[in-house]
Amino acid sequence: MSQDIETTQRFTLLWIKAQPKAAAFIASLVLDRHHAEDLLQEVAITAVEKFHHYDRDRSFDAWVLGIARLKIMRYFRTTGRDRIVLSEQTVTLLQSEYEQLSETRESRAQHLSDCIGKLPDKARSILKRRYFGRMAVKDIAAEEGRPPSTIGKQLFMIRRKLEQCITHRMQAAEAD
Amino acid sequence: MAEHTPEPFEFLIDLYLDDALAEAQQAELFARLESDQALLKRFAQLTEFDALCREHAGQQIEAELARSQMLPVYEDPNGPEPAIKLLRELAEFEAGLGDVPLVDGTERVKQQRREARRDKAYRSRPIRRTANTMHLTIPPWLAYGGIAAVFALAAWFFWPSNQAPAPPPIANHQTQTQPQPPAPAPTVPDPVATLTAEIDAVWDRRPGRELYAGQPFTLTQGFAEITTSHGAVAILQAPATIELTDSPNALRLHRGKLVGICETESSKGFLVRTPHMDITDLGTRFGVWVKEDVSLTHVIEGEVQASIANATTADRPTRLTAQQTATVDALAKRVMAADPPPRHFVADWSSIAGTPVLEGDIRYEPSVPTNLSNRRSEDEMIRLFPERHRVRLGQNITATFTQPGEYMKFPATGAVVPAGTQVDAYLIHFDQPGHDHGSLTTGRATITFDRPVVAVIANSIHLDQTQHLFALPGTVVNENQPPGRRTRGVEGADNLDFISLSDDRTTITVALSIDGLMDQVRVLVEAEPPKASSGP
Repeated sequence: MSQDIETTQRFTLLWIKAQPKAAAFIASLVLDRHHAEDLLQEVAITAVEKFHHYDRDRSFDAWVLGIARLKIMRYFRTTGRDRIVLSEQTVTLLQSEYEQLSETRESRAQHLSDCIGKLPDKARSILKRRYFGRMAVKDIAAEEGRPPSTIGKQLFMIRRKLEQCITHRMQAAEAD
Repeated sequence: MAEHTPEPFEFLIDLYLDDALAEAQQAELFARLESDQALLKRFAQLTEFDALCREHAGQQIEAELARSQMLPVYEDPNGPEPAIKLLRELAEFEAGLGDVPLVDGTERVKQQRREARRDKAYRSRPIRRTANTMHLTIPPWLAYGGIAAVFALAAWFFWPSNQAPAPPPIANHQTQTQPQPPAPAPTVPDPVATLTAEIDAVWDRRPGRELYAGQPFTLTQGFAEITTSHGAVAILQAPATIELTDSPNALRLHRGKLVGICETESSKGFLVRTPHMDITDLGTRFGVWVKEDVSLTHVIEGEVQASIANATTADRPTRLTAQQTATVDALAKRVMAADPPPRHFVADWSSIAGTPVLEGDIRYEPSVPTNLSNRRSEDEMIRLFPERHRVRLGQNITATFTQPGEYMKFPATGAVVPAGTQVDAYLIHFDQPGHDHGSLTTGRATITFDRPVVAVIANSIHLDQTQHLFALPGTVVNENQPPGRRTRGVEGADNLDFISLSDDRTTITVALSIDGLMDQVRVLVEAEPPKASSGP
């Protein structure tokens, strides 16, 4: 196999795992989905361009999250005059938290589906529209004939319920 | 003006994720993230989990496609190198894409695949970047797509002669939803409303409990609560003159102040007519004030629609949202924005009766029902009931917690409240609405006392152990279960309940969820000092 093919495959396999983590990190600070997509594109391109600088002894996820942090900070610098942004130090700390979370991400994702299945129908319906249908809270509220604040509160509860369910399942799996 | 109550941190994050934060709230959130690393950690957990849910959505869509036997088949007679073929097969599977023949060529299947591709691609906004002296136009699906897209990106870079596939066409994929029009009001025979509560009320002509259309009365002193047949609540502040109409969800306010509260679905559309203005509730809490030849409405929470009295179809109504105020210009005959009234309307009974100040999905009821075992509310509101006051503890008791903080677990270990402490007790109670069996019901409320909270009792064992001390005589809760094992607290293993006590100990925030059972929390506050004697 040529070196080009090998490099391509290696990058591809690493990026597939790192991409959702970088997307999540960016989305945590850049709520505008279109801007977040643009930043993720930039991260992908930079990762490809700089892949020969990547140190194999380091975590690829952490390396990509570092690139994402730089892109986020540049985005903040260009748009920060009009909005409230976090300091570079805090974004760096947040990146560290995301690096730690990335270690358990796959196992948490595995439990998520089962936990969604445990939710009451009403909760699942709201969750499905929020995430599967990508509906805004106010649109779900309009469908339900309820104030957006009510749907927001229900989502709060649903997210916590899922989070707890996943935690319990992971603890049970560890005990086994 | 009411002081700003800081939102509990986790609620702020959820509002942030739902893109529903006001600028001041976001400033508060980010300020706290800058100053507290523990909160930053929690922020990371919640935002990352939100992303996990979003990602799961994509997988769900793919799973649905797979279940309906629409998996694409990779066909390449020459066959690329095995490792690359494997990656490409995986890629075709993941993205459900490609210039690959379809197993089932029906238009329906093609359409579903196109939709799946659009979902993956989100949208196409190529950007131009310089790399290795080449101009690469990278479509966004390369970053977002699955294995194939990444492979293409990497291959493009490492094998410059390769061509990236054109981005798939993108259509407007947003779900358009229209709010359902409110159901037409059913015809309800008289009476059209009920006098449901009074405080120090004096009337020019005392009404009965049941109220009928066409009866004007004047409240000359105090406060009164009238509930329409559809469940809308109007709290009158004297002096005020009202008249009920034939409608089961409307009244006329001739003069004075009232606060309209419409927190049930059936009460939505509550109409208050004044001599100058018609105000229609759209699910909210609002004040109306009629003084001489001026009418004013102020939205406390939610939304209303205001129009001039006897409006024609040419007169467009004005929508008002929270904290907006409007009046009618009598000359111009139109609704105009106005400054809020100098003295705000009462928010609810609690602010009238001198009891705790309440915000959110909560209602103060001055008398606790004797049997709370199988109580089913008519709405999704949390209740706050007063219990025994000025109780001096004869011995130590165990509460669930006594210190400020945010709590999501409520173990039986608890904390001790020492003997000799004198407290007033309140019971927070949340039960399943009568019309809603078994589904998740949630409520959130903030309660601010004028004295410090001494202890919070939220575990069922602690609630049962302190029942004889604080419950009013004759109050029964789940009497069919053995004492100490009654399901009434918030400590369940998969529970979502959340309680916080502010640093100054005066404000409690609860977020409760129930799916069949009840949640109760007992709050002990420092006893109100005895009133000073007026003479020897």
